[in-house]
Amino acid sequence: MSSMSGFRTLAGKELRESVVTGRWLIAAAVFMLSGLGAVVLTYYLPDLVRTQAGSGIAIAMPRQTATDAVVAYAKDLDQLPALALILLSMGGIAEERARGVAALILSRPVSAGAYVLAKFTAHGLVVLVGLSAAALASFGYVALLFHPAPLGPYLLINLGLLVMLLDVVALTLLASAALGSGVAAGGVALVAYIALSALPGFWAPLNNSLPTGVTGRTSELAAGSWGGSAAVQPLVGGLVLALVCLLLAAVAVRLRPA
Amino acid sequence: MAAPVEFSHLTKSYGRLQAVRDLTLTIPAGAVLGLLGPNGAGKTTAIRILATLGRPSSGQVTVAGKSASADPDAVRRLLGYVPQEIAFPNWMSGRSYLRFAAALSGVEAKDRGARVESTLELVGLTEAGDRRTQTYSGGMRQRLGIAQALVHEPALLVLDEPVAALDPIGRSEVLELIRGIKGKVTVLLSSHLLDDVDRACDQVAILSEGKLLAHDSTTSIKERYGGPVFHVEVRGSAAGLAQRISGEAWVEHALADGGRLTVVVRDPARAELELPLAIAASRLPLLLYRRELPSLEEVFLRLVSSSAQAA
Repeated sequence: MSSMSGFRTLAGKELRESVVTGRWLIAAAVFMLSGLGAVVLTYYLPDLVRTQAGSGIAIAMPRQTATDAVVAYAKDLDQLPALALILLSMGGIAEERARGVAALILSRPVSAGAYVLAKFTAHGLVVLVGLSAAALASFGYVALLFHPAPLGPYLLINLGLLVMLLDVVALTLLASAALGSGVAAGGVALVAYIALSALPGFWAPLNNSLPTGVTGRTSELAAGSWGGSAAVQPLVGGLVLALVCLLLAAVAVRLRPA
Repeated sequence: MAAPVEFSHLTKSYGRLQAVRDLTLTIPAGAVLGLLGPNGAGKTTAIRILATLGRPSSGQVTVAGKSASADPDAVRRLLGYVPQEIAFPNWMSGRSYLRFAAALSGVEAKDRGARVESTLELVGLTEAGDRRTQTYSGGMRQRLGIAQALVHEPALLVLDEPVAALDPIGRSEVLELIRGIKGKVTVLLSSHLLDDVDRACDQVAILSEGKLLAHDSTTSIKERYGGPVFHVEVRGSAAGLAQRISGEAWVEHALADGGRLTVVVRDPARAELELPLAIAASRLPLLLYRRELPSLEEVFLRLVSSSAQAA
């Protein structure tokens, strides 16, 4: 039996589950809300500040640009959607195991790797679709409210976000495979996500190997002062991190299938 | 085709606790074996290792010569498994779950539809097949559990407490189903319901505290571990008769209930001579006299309590 036997059938089940349980809709709504909200808020920020400041105080607010809107978009997409993904995927393995669903699946000729990868594929597609929708809509809104953002850097920012969010899913599935409950897995995944976002701030060389190397430099990217081949290593590093998490999750499932 | 199962010196420890101790047991191909034991006897642990969901500390289990721990995929292809706690994705219908289970077990796409329909019919879920599993009653879920274990026509069917959640009619149907596949599939049935095991199984293995206490055909185990029982019915009260024979060396115990008397004996040959004489001496009109093997429950209780006393 190959190490991926049963993958197609399992992935089909996971994808149908994503649709039937409305996971796609929830993710798309959260991504769109975050992306468009950031762009619109950036546009109206000077007016909001003026309103809040009152009539007697004069605040010099620099004019907001398309670059500011793209930076705000990237920052927001890296927060609420990540939390939503943790909530949507934390029970993926732990709860199937606790309810007894996993025992019926894993006592069949199915590999632990295929079981984990099928879940990752379904959640990954949710990320891809949600992010694509948010990216397209936000790109249009930036063009409408400001002027069109440079396409290359905008795509690279979204690629960085995609890898970062895939890492969030992989970390959550690893926690779900290693722990006995979905809630515990969610807590551990949240801590891991905070660590993933914050650690490069304490030790800059980590940025060379983690997607924060891209998502943390959106200002430079949007302004066109950084990018290109320099972004490859952090993106590859992020994909390697996801792969390692998935391998460890498969080992955890193999050691304790149900 | 049915597959033989062999537990060979199987031991499973959790820290200092030995859940299964040196279990050696052979189930011939096509046999229906009832695995009995009190709570914590190690039945589910042994079954989970057989179902490739647990690993032994030492020893092994083989199905048709394939080791469950060294070659789990080969064993999974031969296996149909119904766990104690059974659950399905709530959003799936019974029919779509069976299709999913059949696909996972490698049933060819062209055969899948027919196989799913015949299995649904076998467990009486054809009409409810398109309903979501979350709307199923406990009994329907149990029957779907058995269906998913049979849909790929396994060589070995492992059922861990399969009738616990069923009403008497449902239990009877499941036992009928097991009797129907006897010979074609090897069946390992773990149950607390000893009458059901008595009705469905042709072999019995009794576990207590992880150890195998007895394994034999259902009839042999009753003959070997429990003396025959005599049922007597007289007109009037049998209490005096029970009291009179209770002290005899050939009597293990005698229990009177109105005119009915149940006598469990130590020495069947002497009992056959002495009991009719005792009844005649009581001068009570005899309505019924029957010699029977003890029930599986009596044998089970006797073996488990002797094992506990020895420990």
